[in-house]
Amino acid sequence: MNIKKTLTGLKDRASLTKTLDRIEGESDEEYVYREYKVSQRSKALFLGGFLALFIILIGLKITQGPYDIGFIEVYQTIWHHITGDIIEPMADNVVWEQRMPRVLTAVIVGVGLAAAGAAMQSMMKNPLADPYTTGISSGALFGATLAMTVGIYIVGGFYGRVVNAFVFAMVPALFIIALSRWKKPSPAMMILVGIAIMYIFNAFQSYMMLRADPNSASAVYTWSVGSIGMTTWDEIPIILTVSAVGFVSLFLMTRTLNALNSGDSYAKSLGINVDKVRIICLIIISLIAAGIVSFTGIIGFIGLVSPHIARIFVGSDNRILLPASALLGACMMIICDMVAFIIVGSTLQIGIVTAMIGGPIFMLILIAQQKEVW
Amino acid sequence: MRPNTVVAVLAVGALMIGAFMLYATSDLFGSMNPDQYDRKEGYAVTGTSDGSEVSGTALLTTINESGAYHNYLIDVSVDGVPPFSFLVPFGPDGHPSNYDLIGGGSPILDVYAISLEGRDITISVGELCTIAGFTVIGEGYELTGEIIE
Repeated sequence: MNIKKTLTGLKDRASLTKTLDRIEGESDEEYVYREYKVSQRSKALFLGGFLALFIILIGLKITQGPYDIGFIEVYQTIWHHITGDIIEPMADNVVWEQRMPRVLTAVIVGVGLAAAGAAMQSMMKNPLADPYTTGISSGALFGATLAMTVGIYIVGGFYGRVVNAFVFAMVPALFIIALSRWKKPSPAMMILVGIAIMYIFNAFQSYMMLRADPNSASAVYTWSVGSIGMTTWDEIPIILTVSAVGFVSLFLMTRTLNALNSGDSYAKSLGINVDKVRIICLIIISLIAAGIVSFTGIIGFIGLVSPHIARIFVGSDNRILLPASALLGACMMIICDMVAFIIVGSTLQIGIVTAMIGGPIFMLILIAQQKEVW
Repeated sequence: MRPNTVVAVLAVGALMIGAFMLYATSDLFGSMNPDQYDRKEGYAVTGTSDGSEVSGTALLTTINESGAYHNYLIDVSVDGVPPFSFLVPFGPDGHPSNYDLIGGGSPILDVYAISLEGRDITISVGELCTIAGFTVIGEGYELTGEIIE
């Protein structure tokens, strides 16, 4: 199968281990060390490549829109704004006030969801796991909708919607923990349970929307599909803080996640409290999902697909996989938003595009042979 | 193909269909509640250019940059004056960003001003971000635009 060959080829190129020739007189230790160095260098190269792609994509995305702004002009306008030397107020308004919040939201959402997905897949040893497929995002969506349509807040104030989303995101998370302890579910069973949870929350959400006035229902529906076009600079600090705290916390746990990825008994032999780590991880993932979903609605497949693609290039070591997935998630979000703009303009919700692009990519990876990718 | 893969593929397909259904519903809601800020207006423009009386038209169109903003681009076309356009971005607070409030206070109109690319622009803003009229003072010309009802 062609896809299978391509994926295997990419994996071989990424590790470079099969193309390394032995130097004459080289000891086994020296060879292994050299092999390790080459492998690390290639991973660093891929990370650097993702970073360069990410910076270029930001510029390209900001050029998109009815107000005409060139690629270089984008970076000049950003620089002028940062230095306070604004030359063209309208270009500055369009770039800084209108397009930047959208791009930054895409980046933050991509980083947060991809990191959450990568951590979840390692933690649960399940290639199908991410906040979307396990129902965590649906729980968060329900909590936020409860605040928006019915006005029920667990905690009042500006953060009320996020707190609601977090509390309800914890419901599927706790269910996952209980299910994992009760019986060992297969990856496919876990995703089906997640979809079942999603349908339950969707049913409640539909009921709330039927009771809401048409304007609220319309606004909630548009938001729930996954929309990044409404965010302003006022919301960015909250989403950024939640995602950054979540990402850093998960990054600090990457060694533990590596141990969990090798199996529970191996992790236990290293003195890791497996259940405690899983609970902490799921709390962090629920927090990330709540922060993101509260402001952008559900954006699926980014958390699922990004780690799979990143794994092809940098392998399964979470210390590199997590940042690589995050960068790739950000790039994918920007690309999906660019595609949305090309198709129908800025009004198409990005959640639709991520589902339409991410879904088939994920299916291809799955069909190609998940064992080789995982 | 293994049974687990088949199940997973079907599940992914179901998720995609679900997302599309949500989009269709949101689109339906959108068509039921048209955006009242999305508009196209015409203006009659009169004034002087190098001491001579001139006249022409201006066209206001809505451009979608961000869901939080309502952007209006006004293209001015007057004989004897090079055609030009200017942007009026209304922010989430309902006021045109980067424009200074210089007057108004009447129940209907507020007056805002800005200097853009060598032109002094003044706009009169009514309810729902309606631009009732504008004046533009440039090098050698002075123009006034009034909305055509």
